[in-house]
Amino acid sequence: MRKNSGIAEVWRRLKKNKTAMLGLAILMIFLVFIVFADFIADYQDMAIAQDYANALAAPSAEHWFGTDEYGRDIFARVIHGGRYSLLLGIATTAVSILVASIIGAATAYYGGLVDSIVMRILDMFMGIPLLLLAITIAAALGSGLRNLAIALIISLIPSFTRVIRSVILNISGSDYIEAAKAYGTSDLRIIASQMIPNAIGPIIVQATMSVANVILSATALSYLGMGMQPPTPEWGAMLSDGKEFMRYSPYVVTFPGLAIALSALSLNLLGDGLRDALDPKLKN
Amino acid sequence: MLRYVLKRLLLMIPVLIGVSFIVFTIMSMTPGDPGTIILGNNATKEAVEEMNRQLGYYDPLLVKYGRYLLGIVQGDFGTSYRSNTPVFTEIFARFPNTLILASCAIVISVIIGVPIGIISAVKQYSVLDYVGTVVAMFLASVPQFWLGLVSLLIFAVNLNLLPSTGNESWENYILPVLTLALPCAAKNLRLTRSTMLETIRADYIRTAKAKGVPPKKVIWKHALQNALMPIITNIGINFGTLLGGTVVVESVFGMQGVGTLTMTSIRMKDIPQVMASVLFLAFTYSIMMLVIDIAYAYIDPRIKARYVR
Repeated sequence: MRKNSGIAEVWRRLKKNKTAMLGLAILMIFLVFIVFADFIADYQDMAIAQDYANALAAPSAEHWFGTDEYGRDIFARVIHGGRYSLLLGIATTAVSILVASIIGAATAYYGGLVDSIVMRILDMFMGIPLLLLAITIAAALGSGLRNLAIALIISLIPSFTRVIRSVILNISGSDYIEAAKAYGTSDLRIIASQMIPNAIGPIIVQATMSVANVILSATALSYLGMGMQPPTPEWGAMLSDGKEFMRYSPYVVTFPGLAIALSALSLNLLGDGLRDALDPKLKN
Repeated sequence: MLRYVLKRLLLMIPVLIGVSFIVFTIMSMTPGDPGTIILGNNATKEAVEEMNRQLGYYDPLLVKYGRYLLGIVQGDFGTSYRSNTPVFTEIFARFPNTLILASCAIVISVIIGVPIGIISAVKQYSVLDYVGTVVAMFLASVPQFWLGLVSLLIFAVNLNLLPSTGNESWENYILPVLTLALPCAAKNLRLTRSTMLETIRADYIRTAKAKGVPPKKVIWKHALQNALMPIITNIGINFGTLLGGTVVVESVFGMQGVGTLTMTSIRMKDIPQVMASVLFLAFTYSIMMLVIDIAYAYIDPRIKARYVR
């Protein structure tokens, strides 16, 4: 009962936030295009098949975003590419958060030696700038969707674990947990009814914001040739391919770049709004 | 204070050893052997194998790592497989470029981001606040390599105002520095605005206003000093992102920095060079974090009290 009304309350507050709603709307439009990409434009015919007669055509009624150097429709490639860029961002963030929650919760709960050892190991990982770590792992594993995902997940886990651990430590030190313990509530019940509901808010905000950063990192990796390889229509790889032709055909780099920027923007707007909606200090 | 700095410097050693182990393990998983890289594809199989044996390529991972660590202790970080020169020769030759990029970007991102953030917070809901927030939101979401490509297209190719690639003159640095700085400036702006908004509503600010402190002084002295901590933390975090970002920006603008060096070495499986470059960047990052922590002590008297005894 209480949890339901909590979600309804957050939604009610989120709805009032115009920029957050704009973010949600943009994200929804992206997701609709991505989910129905196969119905809108056939993957093989439009996004992969080459048609040199039509290469580097300017945007027109037939090709909304123009065509690339192989005559492939850029609009079709952008919506199919969303599967790699946007969905990859969401999926890797979700997996990293899940792993980080387990590590973070365990270390915060057990404390002591386990906590110090795990934290020192994470410090070592965090001593390497994120993009550099991801590049190194991606280079070791080789290119491809699965390896790119693994590289991103490993690079993301340390910082997530830190955030989640501190959230949980913060909560377990609070008065209401103390009160529940004094009341004789069982550990399991405290975790289920106090810890998780209170920790989930900050974690969701962190997740939403980081999907944007993951998209930026994943596309950067592909741009550097470490992620998805041509002819896969990944946004970063499209920019990398198109950059030689941008002088006379700027739309080759304009639209994939806009797709990255808009999807990251929508997630940042939504994350900002969620943070405000979940902040009890800003209730009124 | 000195004791604290020394302690922190000592604590950096285990972290850097850990970093070296992580990168060593990852790099040892890459396909390809050093013999082939050094001698090239045309060398005979026997010669390649002989070279690999000499380098200890067939030893177990921990033995190889132990040998590497032993070398480091004696000040020998190894020689590059590719150029056959000590690894730090190339790093030091290229580091000035990366340092100029990163430090100029940090300075510009603070100069742009922090003051606009403060004004946006003080004049909340003004036109400047809206414009600043929207622009910052957009810049924080734009991929750096795209920003770089587009600025290259506009300013170097179409308008022909600035050179496009290379690093011969100071003009070459304008676009890369701005490409690095603008997303960071956006982050600084957003953070400054939100922390200032929080501080402005604090009780001690109301007290200061009530007792008749001039409004300008309330903002710049009372509020800003208290809001500075998260802003400075963010600058430190930005520096880490910047060091990673230089890889991308250097490659977009074809600059010879540590970032591009690391990228080429990773591609060529030049393990000693990769190790040294990543360790060097991690070291730079840790030093920056230490500087930030010391800066805390100077800004926040509560923290200073803990160290100065």
